[in-house]
Amino acid sequence: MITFTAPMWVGILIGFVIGAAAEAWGIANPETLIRLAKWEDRLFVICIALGLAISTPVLFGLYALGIGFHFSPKPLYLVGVGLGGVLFGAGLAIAGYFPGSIWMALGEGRRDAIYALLGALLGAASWTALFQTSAGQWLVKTLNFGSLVIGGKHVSAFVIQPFSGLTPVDLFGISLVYAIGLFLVAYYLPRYKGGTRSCIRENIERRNTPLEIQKHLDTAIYLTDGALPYSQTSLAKKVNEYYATESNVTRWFMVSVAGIVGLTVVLEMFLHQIFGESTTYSWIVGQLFMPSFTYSQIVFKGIGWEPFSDIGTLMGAFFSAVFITRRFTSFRNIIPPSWASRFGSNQALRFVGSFVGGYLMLFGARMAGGCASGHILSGDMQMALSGLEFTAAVFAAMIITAKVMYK
Amino acid sequence: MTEQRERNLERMDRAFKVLFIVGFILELVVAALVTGNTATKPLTAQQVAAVGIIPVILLVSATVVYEQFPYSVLGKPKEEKQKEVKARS
Repeated sequence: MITFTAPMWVGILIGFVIGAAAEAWGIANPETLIRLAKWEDRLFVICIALGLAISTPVLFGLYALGIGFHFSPKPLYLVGVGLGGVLFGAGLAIAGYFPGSIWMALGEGRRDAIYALLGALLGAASWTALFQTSAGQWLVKTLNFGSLVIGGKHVSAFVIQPFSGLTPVDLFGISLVYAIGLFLVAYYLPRYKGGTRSCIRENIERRNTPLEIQKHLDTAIYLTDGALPYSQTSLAKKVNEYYATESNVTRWFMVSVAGIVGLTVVLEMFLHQIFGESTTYSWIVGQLFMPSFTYSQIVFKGIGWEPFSDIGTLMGAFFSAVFITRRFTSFRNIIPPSWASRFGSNQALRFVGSFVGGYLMLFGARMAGGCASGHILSGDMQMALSGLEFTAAVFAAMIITAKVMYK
Repeated sequence: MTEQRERNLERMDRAFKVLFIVGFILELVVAALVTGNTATKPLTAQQVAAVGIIPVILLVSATVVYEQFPYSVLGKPKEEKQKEVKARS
């Protein structure tokens, strides 16, 4: 089996690519994720589904050919992963952030990301304290079935052992069926509530309904609110207002970003590890305040290049916000429109919302053993059952919370 | 905005972009140096702090530079954009 382990500093480059791509998507902006929670704008679902549809068969295809990856599907402990997913989804709907997007938003100069960061650190500290109690142990040990993936089990470094009677080639076959399912979601799920086409179909059919054009304009307005000026001929104009430009290259670039992210995670798994962003929060609180706690000790021993890839994520989004999209907002007081229309533009109230949302989201992520990156992106890419359970719990809780909060 | 002011802002923008690129390269170099190019040894707080201070400095610098730019929407200063929308309607 061909294997390789890259030096730690390479994590900065990997995080950089993912951060830059995600910022161009608009995921650093909390309004994007609040609209996802309200099920009004499904760009995140479409991009993740497309990214997974491209990268999962590549991952398992290369594995069947004898390439070794640093697989790390999270263990499936039903209670902790499910409850963690519910808390994560609720927090995401309130704050409009997940762990990685906080770093991206800081790179975009968003003030409320600072509040979310503080809440997230407290959430990580709470799980560190809870972990060594009997309640914490019950959450991670009850109904724990180990690191299962569809068709196999992670047994050691570089090895996913297919279930009896199956081979790595069969896993590749399963990944193809899985990818087709995800591609159909990406192809048929309309991007906007009330719209008829996904991003892919918009590009293929080269048509939009008047409502979709209006929604695209509305999206571009909130993404660039409080940002930097740009000229009519700039790259920023094309990236922010790609629906309005005639360049099909730009339009396809926006869709291909999904594939770039997915394949970057495959590369990361070959080089060093899965893509994860929430462990860093536990690592920071452990280093600063709770070094002797059992959970901190586990994190210190197991930490990979996550702190570096998180720094890279921030830098990638920062780069994109200054050089490409011009969405750097200089930490101005910008309240997400969905939040403002429900709760007003009071800065203190937004602080509370970002802080509480960040707290719930990180507490849930650590309880479940991963977040949108470790479970939804990397976990679902490995066809991990824990990732699929987490994804379902997050989406259910996120949609219900948003329905109650933003009605 | 006067032409002179626009030119100054453009110059500051260019200067910051150069600073960003230098800072990013420096970050990679510092990361490689402080970790001794290791692939497996867990990162320490000192190593991460040595690298993490660079984005903090860059963010502070960017905020100082870019808060002097006008608050814009769709690439245009907000007042100008509002006038354009009013004229259209």
